[in-house]
Amino acid sequence: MSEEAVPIFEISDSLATRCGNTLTATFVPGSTKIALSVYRPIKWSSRDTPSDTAGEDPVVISIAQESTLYKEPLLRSLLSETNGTFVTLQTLVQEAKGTKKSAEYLQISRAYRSIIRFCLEKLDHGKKTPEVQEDEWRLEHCTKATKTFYAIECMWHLFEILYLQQQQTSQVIVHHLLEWVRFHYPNTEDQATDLLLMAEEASECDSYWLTLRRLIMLGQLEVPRAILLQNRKFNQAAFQAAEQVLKTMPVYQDGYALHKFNSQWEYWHVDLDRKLAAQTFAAEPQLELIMQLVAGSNKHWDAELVNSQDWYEFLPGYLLYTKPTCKPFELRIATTHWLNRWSVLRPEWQMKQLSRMVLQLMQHDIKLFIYDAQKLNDSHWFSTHLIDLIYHTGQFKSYFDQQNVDLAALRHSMVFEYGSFLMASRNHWQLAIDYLDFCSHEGAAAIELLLPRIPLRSERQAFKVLELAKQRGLVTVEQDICKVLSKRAHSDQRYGSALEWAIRSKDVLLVTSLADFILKNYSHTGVIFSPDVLRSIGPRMFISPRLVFLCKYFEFYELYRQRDFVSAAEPLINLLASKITPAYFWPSLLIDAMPLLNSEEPKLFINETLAILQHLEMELVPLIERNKLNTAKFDNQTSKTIFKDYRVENVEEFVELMRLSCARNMVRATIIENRGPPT
Amino acid sequence: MVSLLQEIDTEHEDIVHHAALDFYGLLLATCSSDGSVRIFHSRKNNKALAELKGHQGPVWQVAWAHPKFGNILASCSYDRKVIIWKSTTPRDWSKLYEYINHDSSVNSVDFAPAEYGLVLACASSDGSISVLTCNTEYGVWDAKKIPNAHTIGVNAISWCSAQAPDPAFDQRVTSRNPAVKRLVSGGCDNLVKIWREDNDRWIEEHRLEAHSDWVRDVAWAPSIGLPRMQIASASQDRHVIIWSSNADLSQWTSNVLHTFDDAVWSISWSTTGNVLAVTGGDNNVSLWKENSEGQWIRINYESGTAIQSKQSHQLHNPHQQQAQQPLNLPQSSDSEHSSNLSNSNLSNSQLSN
Repeated sequence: MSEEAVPIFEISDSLATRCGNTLTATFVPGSTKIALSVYRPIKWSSRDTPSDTAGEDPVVISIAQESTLYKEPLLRSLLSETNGTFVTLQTLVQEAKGTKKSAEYLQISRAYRSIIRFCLEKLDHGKKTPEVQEDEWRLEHCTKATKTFYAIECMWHLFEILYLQQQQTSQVIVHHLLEWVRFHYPNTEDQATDLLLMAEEASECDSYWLTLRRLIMLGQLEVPRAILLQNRKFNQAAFQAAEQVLKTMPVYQDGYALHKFNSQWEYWHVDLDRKLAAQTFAAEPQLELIMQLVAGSNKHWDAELVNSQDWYEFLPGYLLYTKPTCKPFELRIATTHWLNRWSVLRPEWQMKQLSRMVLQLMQHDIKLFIYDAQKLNDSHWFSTHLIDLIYHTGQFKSYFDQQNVDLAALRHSMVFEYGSFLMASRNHWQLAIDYLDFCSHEGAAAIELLLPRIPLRSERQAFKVLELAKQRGLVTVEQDICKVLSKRAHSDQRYGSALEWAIRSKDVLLVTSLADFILKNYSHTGVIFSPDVLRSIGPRMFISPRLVFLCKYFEFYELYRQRDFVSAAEPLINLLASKITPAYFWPSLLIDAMPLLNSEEPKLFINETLAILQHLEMELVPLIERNKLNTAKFDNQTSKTIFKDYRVENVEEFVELMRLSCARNMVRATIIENRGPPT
Repeated sequence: MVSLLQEIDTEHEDIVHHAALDFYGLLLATCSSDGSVRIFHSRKNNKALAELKGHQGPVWQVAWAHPKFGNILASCSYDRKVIIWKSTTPRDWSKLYEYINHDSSVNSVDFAPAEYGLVLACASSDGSISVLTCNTEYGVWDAKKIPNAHTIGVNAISWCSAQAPDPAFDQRVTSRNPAVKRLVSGGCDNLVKIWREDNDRWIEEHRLEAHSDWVRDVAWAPSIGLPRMQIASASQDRHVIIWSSNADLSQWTSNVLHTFDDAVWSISWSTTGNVLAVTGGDNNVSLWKENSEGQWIRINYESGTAIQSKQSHQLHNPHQQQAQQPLNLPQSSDSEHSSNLSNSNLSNSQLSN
């Protein structure tokens, strides 16, 4: 492993440099952030006194993060669109097992490129808007992003021409390269447009001949011809001859027989050489220079190259005039020769990253290219998507095998890292899922680790996360999220919502504790929380016996409040007879029975009354005794401490009243029942 | 490149020993030699939301419980106490439970994976480890103690995640039961020990010997479904060791990550366990990851691998070169991301064209 200059990011925390202090760091859960703070090691000899630095410097926690371009909102669509294309590619591969679909792969590659171009346009447009102009940070980011993605498009385009397109069409690549270089050096064409607009006056322009030469070197023939046509001297013999040469230059088209083209081209070339030798263009030295370039004269090309911007700018043009049928495998040699020549002409010139990567592509050095691609500041956007595409096309399999690179593992780790990166940057987690879904069980495990850590800012977001967890069968994640939401609703005093989430979480303990909470609160205050929720629980109540009790009690409570005492009696009796009444709720339940017992028209019959009496003597009285004993040691024993209910002031009195009511009702009921049931 | 998002002035009167972020990374808890614990919003540079007072000595460490138990925080201190705090809102905290059964300073606390319930492990200088389990139905705490876990003292403790490799993906894994609780501890006896709960008792399952000085931090890596587990341990012997297990955790092999220039005090795994942050006496934070061939490499950010504290009042990056832009052809600035191809794939000679 190389220990070459590791770059360093510094934070300014003066405390960390004092008295042997140092720094510590912790990862922020679920994100790529790191929290940094000063650290002072405690040793066996450390003394338990305030440290020497106590109170002197501010104690600061710094939160740092690897910076990324994607904080810029304008890039958001880039991420989501590429995500779409990525998924399309994965499904394409799954559908087309075994069959080669190079046309589709080419389309995917073009789709990626058009996303970049669209994004570049958006950035360009965005940079001119006032909100970006006024925001220094955004302006800087937009500029950085434009640079990066411009370079990426340039390289991706070249990659496509050299490695994806050639399978589709002929092996001749010069005209594709010309198209590529023309797109990336549009300046000359802009100047040409100006010249065309100036018509006759153009030739008086200072840059007239320079622009023409540049156009020719970029392999353009049509535009220079149009410009020359407007020249005042066009009728002169030299111009006419030049026009003739340019017009008749054979251009290779797909489907041509190569040898036929070659002989045509040879013939044309010999003809041009002859004309040059015959001084046909001598009357116009500038025009002659152009024809020398067209003839591929090394001397003249060298003179022009001194002023070019990058080594590859005029390579495709040169190939057009010297080796128009250049094939991809020949490009490597041509590139090497060309570069040697270039470095002789421009010894002081330094290879930049983009130039280097273009060279790697042309020299078929894919491994190095990928290595360098990972160093772009696009958070691996380019390398991940390109490697994924390369992997699926299967085209470089033998190449990577030779180079001892496990392409499948590389692609897997790239997609995994990229997915994890997106997942951890809060705004993009939904996109991340798609990437992690396509990297086997590690991806699934990462989803399981990261998904529950998405902060649940709103119910809507919570539902999204739950839906994703459900689709993937992550039951624990789903249940944990519900529990968290339940806890949160509870502390926000949204008890109905808390109960709903608890039921969804299927946690019996949690549901029971919430039902207890609601029941206890009712017996203390007479208020039932969130009746709407209780009304709608229905069969879901069976998750916990306590919830069943609560729902059944609520049924009684509603009937009772509607003064439908006869109907209310039945659920009450059922509750009294059931074995699910919690001990703390007995008083409340019996108090509820009192008005029914005291009713002139008996609502409760003998058996029911007996049941109530039984509960009173068997459950409530012992409960009161127990509580009395428990609280006996406190001096301030009152009926409040023995049992709490909002309706009862004095316990003893209440028990007596209850007994009396039972007796009275028993009498009435006996009389009625002896008469037989009314028809 | 790394950028500084924010600085939070804790206003603690003395040094902060530990800062922990909650499950979502939203709330920050800090604990200090001044005996207090403070709570902050991690994304705003504002004042403390709450100050938790209850310890009578330096507070060494804080730990957050899973939010499904509510907002619960544990803190441990030189005063031999472990306090568990509970809040209804981030500003409103109260003591939930206080554990005072250690005979010496409590150095480390860690909540168990939420699957096991509300369970806390505490490591103390008295050489023992306590495992506190809360019965959430009744709010009652039960404590189990591992006496003499490490002679002279236990410095750090960390739980094994409850996620077992899924047998559906990997048929080889059969003997792992996710319900088995495991802990790793590091102590002043230079040892790293793995503990397993066995019928209500904690037994020493493995004793990992490789360090030659006090072990200051241990961290069990999150499991990402691979048929193995990893533990990182940091020691005053200037080594960080990565311990890797086989599928059923019956064997552990050590791999020295790196020999640092100074003692290593603390380590931290990222959430998915793919990056390890190492910090030590050299005033540096370095980030490490394992490449596809199982080698540990220092993350090769072209600028900003290590995070260093220097008395510079300006954030600057000496390595970031401002790229010159030739007309409309942009030069992507040599930049910032790690490389997945390890340097072993591509030798230096190959790289320098």
